[in-house]
Amino acid sequence: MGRLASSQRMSQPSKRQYYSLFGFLTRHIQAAGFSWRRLWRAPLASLMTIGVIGIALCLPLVLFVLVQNAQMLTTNLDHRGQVNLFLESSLTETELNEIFQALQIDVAVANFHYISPEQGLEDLQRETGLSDILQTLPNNPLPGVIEVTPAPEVIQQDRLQSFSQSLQQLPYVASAKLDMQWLQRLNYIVNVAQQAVNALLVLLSLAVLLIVSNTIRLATQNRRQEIIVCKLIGAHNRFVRRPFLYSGIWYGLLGGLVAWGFVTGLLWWLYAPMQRLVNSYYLEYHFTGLSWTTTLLLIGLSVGLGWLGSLIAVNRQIAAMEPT
Amino acid sequence: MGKVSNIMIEFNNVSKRYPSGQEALTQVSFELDTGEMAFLTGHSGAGKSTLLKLIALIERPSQGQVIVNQHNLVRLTKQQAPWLRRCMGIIFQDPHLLMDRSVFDNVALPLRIVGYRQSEIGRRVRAALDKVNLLHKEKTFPDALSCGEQQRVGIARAVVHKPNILLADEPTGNLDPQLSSEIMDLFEQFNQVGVTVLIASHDLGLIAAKKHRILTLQQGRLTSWGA
Ligand SMILES: Nc1ncnc2c1ncn2[C@@H]1O[C@H](COP(=O)(O)OP(=O)(O)OP(=O)(O)O)[C@@H](O)[C@H]1O
Ligand SMILES: [Mg+2]
Repeated sequence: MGRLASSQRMSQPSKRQYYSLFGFLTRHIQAAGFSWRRLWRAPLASLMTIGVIGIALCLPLVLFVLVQNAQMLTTNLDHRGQVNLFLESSLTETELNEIFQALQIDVAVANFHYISPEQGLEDLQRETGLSDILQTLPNNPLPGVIEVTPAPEVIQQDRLQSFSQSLQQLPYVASAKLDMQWLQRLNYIVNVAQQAVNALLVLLSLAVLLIVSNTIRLATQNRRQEIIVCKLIGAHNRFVRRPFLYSGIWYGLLGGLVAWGFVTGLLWWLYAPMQRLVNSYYLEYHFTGLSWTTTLLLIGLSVGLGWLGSLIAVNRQIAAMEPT
Repeated sequence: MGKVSNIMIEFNNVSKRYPSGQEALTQVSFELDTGEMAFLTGHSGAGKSTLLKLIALIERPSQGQVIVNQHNLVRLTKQQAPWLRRCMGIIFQDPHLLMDRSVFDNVALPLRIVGYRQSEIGRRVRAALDKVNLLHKEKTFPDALSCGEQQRVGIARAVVHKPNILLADEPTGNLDPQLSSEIMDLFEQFNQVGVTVLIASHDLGLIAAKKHRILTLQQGRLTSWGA
């Protein structure tokens, strides 16, 4: 019957225009520019929303960077995990060999390195610059030391403590000192901190979602009249909703940039004190700030949150606003 | 393909009862040919606005069929309503202009919705504004315009996308006789280029002066449908 066929006929020319790439781009560019200009109609309100987003994202991000650094620091230290055996003084060559052999057959030992008292004194002079004082000593006060690196399984299975105790039982060993405990604790702390950062990121992302959602919901209510007029002259829901989605995207983008600025500033400010802290442990480590990847992920996340937040707000609101 | 119909708007035994229980239209039937111009009149509360709202798919009939531009509106979904509205121009007593946009941007809105390119928008908007004699006001904002000028901007917006149908609900409601007659002349001009025009008005003096069909509603019933 003619009526059904012609119902397609009417909508086709406009539909073709609607779906052409050029029309698509035009409409999106117009909507993006329109929402950008509208953002600055009420600059104070916009800046407040953007600021809140920036601050909310800044907190987990700073912690993320700090934890990331702590993680790299601890993995740097991991392979230095070792037990130091302090030997009794004035051992003979055969007595020393006896210990070496015992260590060689122990499967829990990956390798070991002997530092004689003379070698130790030389190292100490070089590292501390105390050569004058050390040279005045009548004889070498240092014991011989064997640095024992445990097999990886020992560290993985948390058996360092008993490993160190078993080395203590070896003949001619005055004491065995485990160098790892604090490191392991640090590792645990870093893990806890990482979980906390993740949780915080989720929570504050949710907060950003709610902030954007609420801002856009208010915006749709303020523009109720305009939404209805647009529908009355043939606008689809997606046309009406597009500028609101772009507002969300702009909020997200600008909020992300603000967060990036805050974090960069804060890290720059923290850099010197943190470097001093690390140096006080005689560690060779240089702090890394925000990487490009992290920055891009941050901006992506915040744009995504802005878009999603406004989508949540806008869909139901706009569907409910029909001309009467 | 079926026969090419000459009818633009067709009502078949249409009744409209609002959820409140108020029966606004009762068993209304009429046809309006393509390119015809007609007036819709009746006392306040007779159902004029309701009838126009059924055509624009703002309200749906409780009974009967409304066929517009060969679309049976009963079958059109809410998502399809925008396609239908793009073939019509709607003018209200209050022109519903957007106060935070210039006259130009108000008139450009229907074109932006469809996605015309900027140069085409400029050309068409100026042509429409020229029609209503407001070309010199394109940069003005609506609140700096007089009532009659605002109404004319509303008309420019309703015709800028060259609709097939023009619906007007009390377009001259609170304008002086001189301006009312000018606006009626404008509608006749659109009609002369083939647009189907339906105007709801209770300004009988103005209507009688024109030689067009008059549909009269009385308490929701169509009591006369003109010559
Ligand atoms: N949304 C609505 N809900 C309930 N009743 C309504 C609604 N809109 C209109 N009515 C009723 O339907 C009847 C017809 O109203 P309508 O607005 O169509 O009249 P009208 O002819 O346009 O009157 P006027 O000349 O005053 O504009 C009236 O009795 C009115 O009270
Ligand atoms: Mg009315």
